[in-house]
Amino acid sequence: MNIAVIGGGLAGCEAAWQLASRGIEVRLVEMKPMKYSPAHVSANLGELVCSNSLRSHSLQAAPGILKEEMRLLNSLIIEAALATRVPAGTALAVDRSKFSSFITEKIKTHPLVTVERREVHSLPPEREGPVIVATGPLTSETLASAIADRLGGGGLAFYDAIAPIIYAESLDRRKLFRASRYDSQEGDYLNAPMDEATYRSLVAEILNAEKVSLHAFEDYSYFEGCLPIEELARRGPDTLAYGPMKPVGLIDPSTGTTPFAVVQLRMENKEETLYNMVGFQTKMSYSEQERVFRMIPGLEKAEFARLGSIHRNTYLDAPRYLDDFCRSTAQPHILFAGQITGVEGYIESTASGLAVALMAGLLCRGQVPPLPPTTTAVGGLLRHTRTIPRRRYEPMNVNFGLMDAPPKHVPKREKRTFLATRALTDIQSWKDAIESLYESVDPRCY
Amino acid sequence: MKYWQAVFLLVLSLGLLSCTANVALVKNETGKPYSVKGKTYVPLKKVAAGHVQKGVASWYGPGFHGKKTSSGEKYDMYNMTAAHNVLPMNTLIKVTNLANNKAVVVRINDRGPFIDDRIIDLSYGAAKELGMLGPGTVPVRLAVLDSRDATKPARYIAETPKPKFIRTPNPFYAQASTGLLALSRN
Repeated sequence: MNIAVIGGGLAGCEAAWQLASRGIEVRLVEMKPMKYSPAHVSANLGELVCSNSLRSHSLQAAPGILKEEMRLLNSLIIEAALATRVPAGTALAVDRSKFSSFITEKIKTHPLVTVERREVHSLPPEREGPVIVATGPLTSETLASAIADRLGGGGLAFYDAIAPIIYAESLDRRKLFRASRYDSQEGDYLNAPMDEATYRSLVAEILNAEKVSLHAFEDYSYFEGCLPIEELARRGPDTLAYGPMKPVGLIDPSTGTTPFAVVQLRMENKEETLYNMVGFQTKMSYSEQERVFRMIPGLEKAEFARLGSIHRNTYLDAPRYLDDFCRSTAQPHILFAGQITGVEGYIESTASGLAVALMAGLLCRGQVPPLPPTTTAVGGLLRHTRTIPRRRYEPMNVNFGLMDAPPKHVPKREKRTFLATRALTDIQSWKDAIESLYESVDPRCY
Repeated sequence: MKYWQAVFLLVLSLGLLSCTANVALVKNETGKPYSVKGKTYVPLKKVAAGHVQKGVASWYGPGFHGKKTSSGEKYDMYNMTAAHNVLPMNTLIKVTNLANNKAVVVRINDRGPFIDDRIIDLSYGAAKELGMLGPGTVPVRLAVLDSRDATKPARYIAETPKPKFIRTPNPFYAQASTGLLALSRN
């Protein structure tokens, strides 16, 4: 028996490659070139549709650690990226056409991989064997509704509207106060109070800032009820002050009065290392977000773990519908990988495909694989997909806040070095453990 | 015209000089005694081939890549190098991982480690090839391959052994301090 992988994007190709490398036969099913999503144009596998950058290559940055972990795990996508890279400073950027040709060639010529070019309309029954669904943010409508039906509905979202997330340690707490609305107790939110002049200049900059235009296949009808802040600002000078920045029920202890407007920051994780800017979903460009949001009192030196965006997307409420190995709880022979599980970004999706495939290969042989340690970037991403959030489940980029915090005795300036070294140590241990399990079991999949 | 030619030549020769300095000669042999965490180390002036030492090895790299080592060269964590407390700089040694009997040859280009009973801190590349990235620390045996006399100017600098698995994936980057999303969106 073999494993089917649906979707020939980064996650699907990586998953197929990992399984085939472990001696497992794979059928990789891709709907191109018979049918194209609104964003895809090339018949190749592993097509990049947005930027050609796989982000920072420095081990002092979370994306750099993630990529190095993936390289230790023999990632096909990272190999392709290094082979087709173009100069891009500290980032790893690629020649997108050479990149996807490289991947296509490697996949096509692998003796254990069969590529089938057809659209999948429904999820196959259990007797046809395990399936990894890696169909991404532009999953075809028929398949998306089949997934929604099978999972019981409500588990699939079709866009994401995400607000920026800030590292707690980069906030200037002296300018913020802790309170919840209409609550005299110490509250759960950090609030950045603003006088009218500060508010007006912030709104002016939001209106001036460069925006990322919507793709042709995106339109605001998707985003009803979750409008970007610049759209609210455009509707009137006070709209934000009566919307996400409303100050009602909040009293600034330093003045004893209600400020003109506030930006509320909500704890993003239990460890309180990350704070979410409440209601600040935006289509401003990344560099503009950093510039404009640093005008907010207390955020002058803010470092962002994730920046805001609004995308057409297709993703599952993974913590509620998938188990720890990204298997559907209702249909355990169906696994999910990549962006559809609520990870965001090229390398994050690839990492998901990689880890899910390594575990799937063992699961289908009756083994229970260890989960990648949460001290690693790969493990941190997978933990995100299985942690039930206090609010809506949202897609996440890789960042330091996803990895276990370093012990208290590690000095601040050595934190990143510590996290990188520990992550690479632990991912290699995980790989060693996974490999010894593969060596110990019957190579047939059943 | 002549002025520009002169400037050009000057720049060119400076470039060549700095290249040579990088690749070969390490001026500072760090031969003087030094103290770390209250403990004094006296670097060996001479070491003979065949000198053997047993103890625990660890590895390092992230956070140091691109920075200067004790010998003054730029650290490349993907290269086959190591830090030792007292062995002369540029000594070539064979390191055997006693847990799995894998062995690699590394060149000493840094000082350390300064923790407990550890005797050598290997580069990321060397640790990968020894199969010790995962455990992090392992028992090892060190054997010096070439005699070295730190009191005399080095006649040659041993070439850094080439890693098999890992090739430097990226030229040195300026240490990006923030690691944010600023570079791109994908």
